Amino acid sequence: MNKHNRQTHIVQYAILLLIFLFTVPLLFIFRESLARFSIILFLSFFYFASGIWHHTEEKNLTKATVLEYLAISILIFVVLFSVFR
Amino acid sequence: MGSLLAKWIYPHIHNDHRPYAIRHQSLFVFVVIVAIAQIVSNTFAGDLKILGYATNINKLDIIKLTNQERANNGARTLEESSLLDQAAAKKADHMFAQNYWAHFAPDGTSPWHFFQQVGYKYSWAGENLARDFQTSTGVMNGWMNSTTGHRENVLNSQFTQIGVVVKNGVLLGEETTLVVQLFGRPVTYEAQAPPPQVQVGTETKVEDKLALQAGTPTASSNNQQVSTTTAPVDPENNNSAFNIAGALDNLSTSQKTSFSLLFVLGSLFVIDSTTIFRRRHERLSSHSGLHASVIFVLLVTLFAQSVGSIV
Repeated sequence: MNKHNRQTHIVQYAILLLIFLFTVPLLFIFRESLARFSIILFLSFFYFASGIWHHTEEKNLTKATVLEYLAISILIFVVLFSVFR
Repeated sequence: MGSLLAKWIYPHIHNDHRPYAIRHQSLFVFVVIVAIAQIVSNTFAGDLKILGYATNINKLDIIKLTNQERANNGARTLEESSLLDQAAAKKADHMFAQNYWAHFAPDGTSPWHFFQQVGYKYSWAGENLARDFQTSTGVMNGWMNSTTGHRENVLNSQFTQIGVVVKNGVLLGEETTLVVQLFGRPVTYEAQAPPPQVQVGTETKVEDKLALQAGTPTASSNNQQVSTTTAPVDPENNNSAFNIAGALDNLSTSQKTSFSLLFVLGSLFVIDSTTIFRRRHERLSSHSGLHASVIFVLLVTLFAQSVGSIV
């Protein structure tokens, strides 16, 4: 991985984590079921989509990678939905 | 055995530098295990939720823990009163029906109204409320750490009887487990009944998970007249500090199960990502470090949701 790629990698990683860190607290603020469901759905989908986008950009997207991100996205949904149901 | 374990948890040449435990097939199995573990834990806790965490709060534990605290502090053991249990149930039903979270209802109904409804004549009475806790121990810790009257209610030597109800319902738009704890000293207990007195604790509630509902309503009753005062919240003097031991006490069985499973998965991703990073290894797969970070966020969220705080 060259220096430019590494920097891009770190920036994308930081943006994804920051979005999570700013969005998860919203689940403690909004108490309506629909609002919470929407936030959880957004986080799950965002994680999946950003993972796919990142690997597409790096030109190393494989079927296994897609399925790994899909599994983790489902896990995010299951855990957060259980916590904030 | 050792090499088999290594293939599952450690990236090396014999597993194509991708541990079996974090491949997509295993991850889907893991998601199913998390869901099944929740269902099993919830079923054992007496709640048939498919997703969502069942609480481990029950009436007998609350009474037992209350008497333990009283014994530790030299106060007499309280006996359970079926009348107080009924009064507590009526109070809980009233709170759900009228959608309020306070000792006094918006229409002015006082806690003592429910004592009268079931025909409980008291010379002393008290009420503690709690919601959004996960375990009986968590509820008791919340009350005992309170500086606004709950602890005094639990340890009050004037009380001789107790009634508790634990009810699930929707309160203020949120599904919650409500605990109503009533204390009493029946007039029949005394040879010479003193003037009636009542004492109200502060409702203990994880409000927005950071601060509890304000106020220390206290009531004194003579000839059944009550007056209330409300103390303002002092942000410098609240005991809502993050207490890890207290938070662990307040994790239900199903939460502890999910917490443990996530911790194991997160650790596997950390092992994988640090190993690959150390070797500067290029690999066609998703990023374990990212997965580990997100699982860490989930663990903190799970933990934070279980923390009770009071003012």
